Amino acid sequence: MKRRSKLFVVSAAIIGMVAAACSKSTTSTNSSNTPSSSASSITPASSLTGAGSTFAAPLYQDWSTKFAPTGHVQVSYSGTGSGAGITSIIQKTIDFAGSDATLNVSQTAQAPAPLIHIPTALGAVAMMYNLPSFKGTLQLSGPTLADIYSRKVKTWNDAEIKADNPGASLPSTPITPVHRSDSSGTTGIFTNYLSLVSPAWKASIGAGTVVNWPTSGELAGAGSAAVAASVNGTQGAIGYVELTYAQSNHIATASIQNADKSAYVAASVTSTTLAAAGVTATAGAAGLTFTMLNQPGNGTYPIAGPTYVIVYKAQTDGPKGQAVVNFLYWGLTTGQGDEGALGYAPLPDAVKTQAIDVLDTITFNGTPLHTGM
Amino acid sequence: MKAPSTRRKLVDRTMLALMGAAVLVAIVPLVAILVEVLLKGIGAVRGLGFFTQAPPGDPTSPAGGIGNAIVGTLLMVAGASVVFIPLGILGAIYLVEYGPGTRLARVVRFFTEVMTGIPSIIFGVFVFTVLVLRTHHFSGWAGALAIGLIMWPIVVRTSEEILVRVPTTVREASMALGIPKYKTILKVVLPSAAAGLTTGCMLAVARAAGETAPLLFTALGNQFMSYSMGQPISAMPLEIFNDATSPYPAAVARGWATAFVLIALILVLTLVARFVTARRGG
Amino acid sequence: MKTASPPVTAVTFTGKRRAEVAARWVSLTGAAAILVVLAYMIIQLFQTSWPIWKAHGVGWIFGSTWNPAGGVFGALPFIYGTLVTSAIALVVATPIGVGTALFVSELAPVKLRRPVASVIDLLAAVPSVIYGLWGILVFVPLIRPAQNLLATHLGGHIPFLAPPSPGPGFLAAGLVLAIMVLPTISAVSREVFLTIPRDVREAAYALGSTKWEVIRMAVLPGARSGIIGGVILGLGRALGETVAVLLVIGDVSAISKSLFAPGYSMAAVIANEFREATEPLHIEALVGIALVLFVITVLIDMGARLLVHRTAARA
Repeated sequence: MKRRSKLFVVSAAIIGMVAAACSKSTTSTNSSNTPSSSASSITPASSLTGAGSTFAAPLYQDWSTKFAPTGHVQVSYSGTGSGAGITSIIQKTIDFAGSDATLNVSQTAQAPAPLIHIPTALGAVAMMYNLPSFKGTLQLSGPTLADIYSRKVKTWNDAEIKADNPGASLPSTPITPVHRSDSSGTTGIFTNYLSLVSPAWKASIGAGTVVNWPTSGELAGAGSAAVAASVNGTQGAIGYVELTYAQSNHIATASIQNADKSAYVAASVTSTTLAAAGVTATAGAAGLTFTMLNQPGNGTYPIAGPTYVIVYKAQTDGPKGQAVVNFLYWGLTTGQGDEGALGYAPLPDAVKTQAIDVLDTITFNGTPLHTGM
Repeated sequence: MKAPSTRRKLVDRTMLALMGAAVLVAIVPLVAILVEVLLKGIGAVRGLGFFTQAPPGDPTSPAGGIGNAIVGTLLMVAGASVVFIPLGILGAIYLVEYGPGTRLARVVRFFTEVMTGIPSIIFGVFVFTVLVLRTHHFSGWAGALAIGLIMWPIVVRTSEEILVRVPTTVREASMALGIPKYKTILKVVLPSAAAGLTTGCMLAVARAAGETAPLLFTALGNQFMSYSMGQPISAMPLEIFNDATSPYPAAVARGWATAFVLIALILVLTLVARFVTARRGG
Repeated sequence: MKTASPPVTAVTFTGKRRAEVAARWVSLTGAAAILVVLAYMIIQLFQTSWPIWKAHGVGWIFGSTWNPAGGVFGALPFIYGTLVTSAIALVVATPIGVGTALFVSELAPVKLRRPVASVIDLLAAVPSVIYGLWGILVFVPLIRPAQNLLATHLGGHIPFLAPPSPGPGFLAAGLVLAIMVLPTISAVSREVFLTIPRDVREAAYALGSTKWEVIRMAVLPGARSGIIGGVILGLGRALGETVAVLLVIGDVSAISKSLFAPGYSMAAVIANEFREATEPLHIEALVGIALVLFVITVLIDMGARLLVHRTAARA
């Protein structure tokens, strides 16, 4: 008898806890202090789920912490990789995806409803390297990078690298290139750059979020963080990561030769902003997409690109749609100020305005969700 | 009796020494891991806030804690236990009380053992396909289901071993008094096996609390303190997994600290379970 | 040996009889539910991956190129990686596991037996992710210099020590797996040794054998199939390990003779790529690999348990 009543009490307690948990998960908070619009009639959901690009993960996680108190939405973002983000939004298991790559033809076809891209920030793909015996900053040109990653250049004292670093003494350490093992927008930006500067690369390996890397002598990591860890732990390694990952660990990054071939430019917020200076973006059915690789200018960093948030143009859940729009609007306005400190470059004003215009096209039941300002 | 030759003695001594060495080699990694986790983890635990706060938004900041992961693990383990511990004990009751010797019992017992050996990632794939995809939600419930499926066969097996040890005389005495079988089980057999059953469940919980792979596709993770099981939720193993490869030193330190908390929890559960079994003369 | 329950006594009240029948059926459902769920799992896995089996038969799992970008799915690199790391794990863990089991059952004074056994069993309680964390942050940097040394000096002559040796790879993963599998082999062997009756040992002592000779002649022969059963159980565990391997194997889908080279395993590729697979063929391939892994581990597990049961029954 004691066991049965104990069982009853325990079950009742757990059921009570479970009921409490369930009730918290139903949407819409009572407070309707939406940051911008007073005309919006839908109260936003109290929590949102986002996933995707690890390139942008530090940014979105920072934004969500700052947005939570004013917007009353908890936006949880997991860095699972651009490809996983795209898959998840197509499968509708998340509310918004982060991706540095745009949807390809097959993915667009698989989406159950139209998806749009909204750029949120610009980032540089930094080449971090681990060569403790090398003094000074490593300089690399585009073709050399392509040859390193295609394994034509195998040691650090190769002629091509020497040509980029005249007068420097380079060790004979073997080079271990590190690439992303998961479907990655950062890979997309990087391989698109390599295809631009090296016809040999374009012909053999090509560009994309997943490519056919050489199978020997390279390491892989799932996520920018894992690539950074691999480079950190392997002497002679080189890897491509979002600038912020290299900056926060004070790891040396290489200066890459600019498009004009006039200088080797270090990856920084400044050089990324310069890269966006001449960009013209046109909004289309898929939202606002553009590239900014290998742009002209003396101080322009050549391997840079935008990162996007991908959402459904016609939202099917009112409160969640409202929350997404509020969060994105905050990010496109107030959030832009945070980007510099985190190693990203804010969107140029023209692009920002265009992005907000695209945001305005997100609807629920035919009515645009972003009505204020 | 002939004394062993020097050669035989030498072989003897060498082999025995090797066996002793084997024990040392086996123990060294365990000690190394525990020491490493302790040393690296203890630095990140700055007071009680570590257990109650969520990680900071700024990844370079050492503030905050793993409160969200602890809550997530506890919620999911509780959710899994509520369903699968009673279910598992029920199954064990069938195996021992109602169906011993039947073919069904033999088949169930065999496949339960097999189920304990199934890689946990397969449960993750399964729950993702049947629950996450269909509900369009990563959630704590999906995570709890995946963990529960892993716990289930362990609970059945350990409960069976405990129930079998309850002496027949106890059951017979109860029946002789005219108490029907189901009441005998409920009020005589189960209470007397309670200690053993609890330890079996503790071992199952210890195993479930440490699983990562099934949570990758089900719970997803959540950087905020969340008590909602219908949303993505964090868990200690997920936190460790994400922090293990993070380039931010603050996050890595948090990962070690989470490992410390997790391992402490599991060790406590395991050691208490062993201690109770030992005292019962197991 | 299971005790037989006494027969149900004749009851006088229909209510109690109904309750009795209900109790029997409820518990039967609880037991049968396991079979139902297991069957559902297999069916679900098969159903999701069916298109790839239909289109490419069984051959695709032996294809040596895995290139999701190009739509080519061959699972051989993962099967290779899984087998190689498991083989390394068993080669290393078996002597150590059997050695510790012998120590506990034959050598240790009675007071020391339980503590030593408990400590080794504690290795099994450490979660996989912590092995992975320790593996990639502590263990791999520790063995990397030794690996590099071997690779540079011997790599030219011995293909499976060939450079490059970046650290994470088959050997690192195999060693971490060995630590994880060791307690299984040790526990099963220990139990098997304990079932060998005392008289067999005493007879050997009576003939003037040294301790080792007693073990060799009296204990090991009878325990052989049980030990093998334990090893196969350990193999089953090694095959399915996901997170620890994922973090230390290097995540490169390539087949390489060198033990130092990075590779991939079936469980690791599923964990890494499942969330990002959009192409139906990609998803089907991954679920297909999960099905293969499932079937292999189940078959190996069944074989192992049959062996262990047979040894226990014989004793």
